[in-house]
Amino acid sequence: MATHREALTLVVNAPFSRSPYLARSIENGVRLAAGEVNANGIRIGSKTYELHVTTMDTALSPARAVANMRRAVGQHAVAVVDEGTGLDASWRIANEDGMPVGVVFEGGSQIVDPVTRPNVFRIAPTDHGIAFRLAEYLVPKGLKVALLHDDSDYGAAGEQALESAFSRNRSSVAIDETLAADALDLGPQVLRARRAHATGLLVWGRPATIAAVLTAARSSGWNVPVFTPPTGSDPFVRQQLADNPSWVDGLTFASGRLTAEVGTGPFLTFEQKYESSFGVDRVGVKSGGRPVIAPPESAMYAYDFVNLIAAALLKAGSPDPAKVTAALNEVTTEGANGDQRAFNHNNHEGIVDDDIYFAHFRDMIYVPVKDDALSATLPTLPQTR
Amino acid sequence: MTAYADAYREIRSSWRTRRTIAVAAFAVASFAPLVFGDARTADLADGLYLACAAVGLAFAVGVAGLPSLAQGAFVAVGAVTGAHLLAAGVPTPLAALAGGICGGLSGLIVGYAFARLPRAGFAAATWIVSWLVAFALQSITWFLGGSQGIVVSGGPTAAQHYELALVLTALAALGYVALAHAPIGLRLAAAREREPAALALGVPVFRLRAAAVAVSGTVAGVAGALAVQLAGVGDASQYGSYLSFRLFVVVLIGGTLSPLGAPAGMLVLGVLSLAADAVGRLENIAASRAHTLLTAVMLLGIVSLGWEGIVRPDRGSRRGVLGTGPVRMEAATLNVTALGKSFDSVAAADDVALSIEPGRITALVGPNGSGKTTVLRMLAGAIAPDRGRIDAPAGAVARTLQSTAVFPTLTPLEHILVASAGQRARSGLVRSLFATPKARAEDAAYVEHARRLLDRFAIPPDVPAGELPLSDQRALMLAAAYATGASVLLVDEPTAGASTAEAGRMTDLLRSLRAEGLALLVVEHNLGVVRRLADRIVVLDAGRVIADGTPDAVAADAAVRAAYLGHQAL
Amino acid sequence: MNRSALVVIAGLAVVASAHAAPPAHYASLPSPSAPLSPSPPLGGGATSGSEGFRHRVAAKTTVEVSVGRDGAPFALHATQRLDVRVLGDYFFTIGAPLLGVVAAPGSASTPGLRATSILWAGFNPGRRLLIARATLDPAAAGSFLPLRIETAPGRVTLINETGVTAGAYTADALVAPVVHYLAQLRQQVALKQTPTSGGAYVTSKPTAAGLRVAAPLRVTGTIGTHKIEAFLEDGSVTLQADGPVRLTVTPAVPERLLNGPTAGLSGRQLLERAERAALTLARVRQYQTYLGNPDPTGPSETTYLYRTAARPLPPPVAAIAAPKRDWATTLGVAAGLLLATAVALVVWARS
Repeated sequence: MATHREALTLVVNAPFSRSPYLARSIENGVRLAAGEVNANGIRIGSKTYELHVTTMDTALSPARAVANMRRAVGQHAVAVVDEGTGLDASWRIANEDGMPVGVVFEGGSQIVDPVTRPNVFRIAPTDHGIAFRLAEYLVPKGLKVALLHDDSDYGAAGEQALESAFSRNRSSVAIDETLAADALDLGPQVLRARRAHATGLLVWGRPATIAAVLTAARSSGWNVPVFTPPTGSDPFVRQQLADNPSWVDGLTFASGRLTAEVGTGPFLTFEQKYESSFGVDRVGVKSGGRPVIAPPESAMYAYDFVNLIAAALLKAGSPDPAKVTAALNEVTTEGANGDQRAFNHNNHEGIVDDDIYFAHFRDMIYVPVKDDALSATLPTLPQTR
Repeated sequence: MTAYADAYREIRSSWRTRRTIAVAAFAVASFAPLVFGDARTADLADGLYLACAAVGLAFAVGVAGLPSLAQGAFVAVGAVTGAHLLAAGVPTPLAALAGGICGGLSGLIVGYAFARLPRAGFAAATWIVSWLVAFALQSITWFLGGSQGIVVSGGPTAAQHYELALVLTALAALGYVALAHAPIGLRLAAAREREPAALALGVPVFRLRAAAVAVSGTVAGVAGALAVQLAGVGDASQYGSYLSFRLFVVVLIGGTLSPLGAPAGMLVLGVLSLAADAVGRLENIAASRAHTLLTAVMLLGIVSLGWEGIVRPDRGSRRGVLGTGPVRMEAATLNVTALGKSFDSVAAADDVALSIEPGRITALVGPNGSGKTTVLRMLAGAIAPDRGRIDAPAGAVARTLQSTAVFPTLTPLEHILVASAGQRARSGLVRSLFATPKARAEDAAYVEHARRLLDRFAIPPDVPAGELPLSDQRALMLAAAYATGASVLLVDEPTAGASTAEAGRMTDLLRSLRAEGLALLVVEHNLGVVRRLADRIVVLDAGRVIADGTPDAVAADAAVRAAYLGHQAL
Repeated sequence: MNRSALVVIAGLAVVASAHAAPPAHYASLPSPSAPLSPSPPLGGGATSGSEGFRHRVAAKTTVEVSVGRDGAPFALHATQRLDVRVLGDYFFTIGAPLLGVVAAPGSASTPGLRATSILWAGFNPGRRLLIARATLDPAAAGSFLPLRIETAPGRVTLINETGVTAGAYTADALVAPVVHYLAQLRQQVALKQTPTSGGAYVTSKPTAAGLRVAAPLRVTGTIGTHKIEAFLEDGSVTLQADGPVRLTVTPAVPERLLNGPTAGLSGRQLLERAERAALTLARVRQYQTYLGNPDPTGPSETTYLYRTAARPLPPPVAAIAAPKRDWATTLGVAAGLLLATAVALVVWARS
């Protein structure tokens, strides 16, 4: 006889209509974890609970994100997995009920603060971490870096992070330039960087901006090394440069590590489960004649957060969102990639700055670099099918 | 106490069933927060703020006839103002007031800039404004803070916002009624129906239209400021040009000529949005796209089917009470010297001189194309002469149009009220809005005066003018010109197309006006009427005066015979 | 063949030649590293979740004990410095009854705070210094301090609180193996290595016995103007002194037990001495690891600083903002609104 299970609502608040690829990745990660948790259920006292996943579309609108959060509170959700849009306003609504919110994409530093926003947690690389690791990586190389950022909100946030990261090494900065986010031709701006004697380009912007910068540099014969935040690994960059794959070679990006020291086993297991449930995310280019796939990074962060919620529910011994929030500071789980995932009262970031690694492209797939202590320890993930 | 008692009695006497229904609906709606949770209540409150903005838009679209597609931009102006002030800690009422002021100023600028455009041009121009504002909000992050928006915390709860929005919508509807009923509304309606005729009656059309847009902008600004606090965040993506489009459709669905049309339209759109959500889910279309599709389909339907709206206009009654009505200007002579006007190289009027004296009818005759209408238009101030002088006290001249030009949906009573509105002392915006006792008393006196005037002219007061016989319409035009209080009347072909009996009626009316001491200039082709009526005849030919004298003298003038009379006798 | 083996063989030969000598059985000696009580280290000690990679960690902790005029501790702060070596990830949990924790100057990372532990997580590029300054709950942590101070007018008593009765046994034993083991312990301590367990060869049936051991404490500093330099084994010492306490307390090696002469002592006596030495070393190790070291075999040392300080005044009791209605304001606002409405109505009636 099946035990009656009570439902606990888990809300995914993401831009399904405006960034469907990202939103679906997050949703899939949540559903995968929820499915695994629900296999045995969450036993609290005499009751057994299971997680029901609901999605809400923010359409990249802060006002809609706030309205969704109200609805989530109205539905007595146990937690919200959020892409991050509008969180500056929506966290308060969740906090009235003590409901935990897990951010799994936006990296802005003001979003997470354990003191003033005790119910907001994040499992995603932070802008601050990415920027500082980039500075840490690039400055010793003796490069004169051109800091190029686009005028999107992402680019503006990155500009601030880079300014802070390079504040003590301004001599390493050749030029600081703002690019139009939707510009197709960035030739003049790249030329300005070249004239400023830059020996490296650090491009913080949307994938389209990165592709445009690469095109402008390479088409003019300038083989300057290009460094980017995680958006450099977005499939769009490779799709845009599919006709000139050599232009992508050497593009180096910083991102959260996908594997742990125990090896690729845990992540590959996760990836296999993900692909069995939701299919393969093809990039649309080939490497060595074989189609290239995109590892499910955003899904992994959402997956890990749901597992932490499940652990927090058990620790709290109650589905009360406020108790779950408190318990999230006390639990540790093993992440999809084998890393320990944990929050604490001082730190609500699930990815520490140390866990930012660097990888560069070779024939449309990326390989961890060897000239960084962490990256050198990481294996190359299989990226073709 | 008399003022309150009078007001109460007036409300009671004019009370109707639909008002009872409206009050009941609002009363029932006020209980919604008890039934729905916070999230749904917030959604409803947001809808009500939009309904409030839509009521403001209905005034501009319905009463003033301006197809404004910038209401969303005014809401955005209010929202930006409100967001910044509220984020700085300014109390909610002040922020709402500031939002209203900024919205109103924006409306005033847009109104003044585009009020002279034809309707299609006005719609296009306001659409561009809406698009520009949306673009600015997205591009300049200072306005509304980029992807995280401007956080606006604190303030009333969702339930409190709901009740406030309900009250504001009701107040906006009452304001609509008050202004539509007042001289401001009547004059705007006249301009909406026939702008040249309204101008001829001295209606300051463009100024009033700018004011109408400003009023709609004020309401939108208040709604925008409060809605942004309800939302908790100022979000640029909420104020795209689609918002203006949506508000416009809501007003059209509900009915532009009723204050409750906009709330009804918002209700309908809200209900249909639920259907759109369901369809969107079935077909895997994003909710925002499904709503836009729905709204566009509805607009197509409205336009193609000629839909007049769910709530039809309610023509309220007007009470009349003896009192101080309009006062006629002192008798005055209109002197014209050396008047000239050319269009390209054609001299339409050349060295025209004449004198229109009180208590006399001067007829202006001549063959077609001789310049009579041009001279008449210059005398009325509709066009400026190239040379010459026109001496007459300001506001002393009124004119009737050559063609039969009444305001089809307005009653003769309303025609007279439009014409006489310029003489009112207590018909300003604020008094009209609050229907103050003195404004209402003045209105009652003017209504009584208008009824008596219509009685004198034998025109039924309460039938829409478009349904009157032609002779009544011509008589109404004359009565309206008379009602402006002008002491000089320029009457253009009063008996055109009239039967003998109808022409006789008109001549009797003109004689009675002469007997009152008015100075009358009558342009006429009917020589029999001219002979019977005129004390003096001025003959124009090719823009020049070829004769000016008594009927006998003019009839005997050889030049007149040659140029105009021919075989006809005067 | 080395000297130790020869000694052993010689000993065995003597034993074998003894007329009707009983057979010898191997018996383990108490561990010189296993804790004799649940605490210290506080909070169950430290764990390392670094995915099977064992880091080499050297831990140095300074415990600042603020004591009142009566000698009782009222505030505890512990600054723990972890010197982590070996390339790779780390995830350390240091148990402690915490009130708060922050990174101390020089720390490469910021510690995490949990209800009962300090959290360190990151990637070690080869060597990393992790320094946390923790505020401990004096009620929970104070009872595990090594030294208790009692003051009375004109005198101060220093009490070694580390004493504990541990399980042991008595028996007759062969001398040489025990002497060898004592030498082994002595060498390991001198080389600052983690002492390892050993055994003895008993020749009679072992009888369970409880041995009271304590970690010797080296106490230096001042009490008032009186200079202090004491070596406090189990027990207490009363000093004729008065005034503020500024003492540095470090757990010390049981020199007497390790280095004392062994000649002339019986196997039974030497066995007891070896047990005492091992147990004392275990006890010393506990107090050297007041906060746990995530590397179980890594070196740990703790210094306790006792300072007299003024007790902070308790914070003023905050008036609980009970959600009671402010009737005066409400009535005032209502009256104002009514007045405004009345004025508006009058203005309206006259306009």
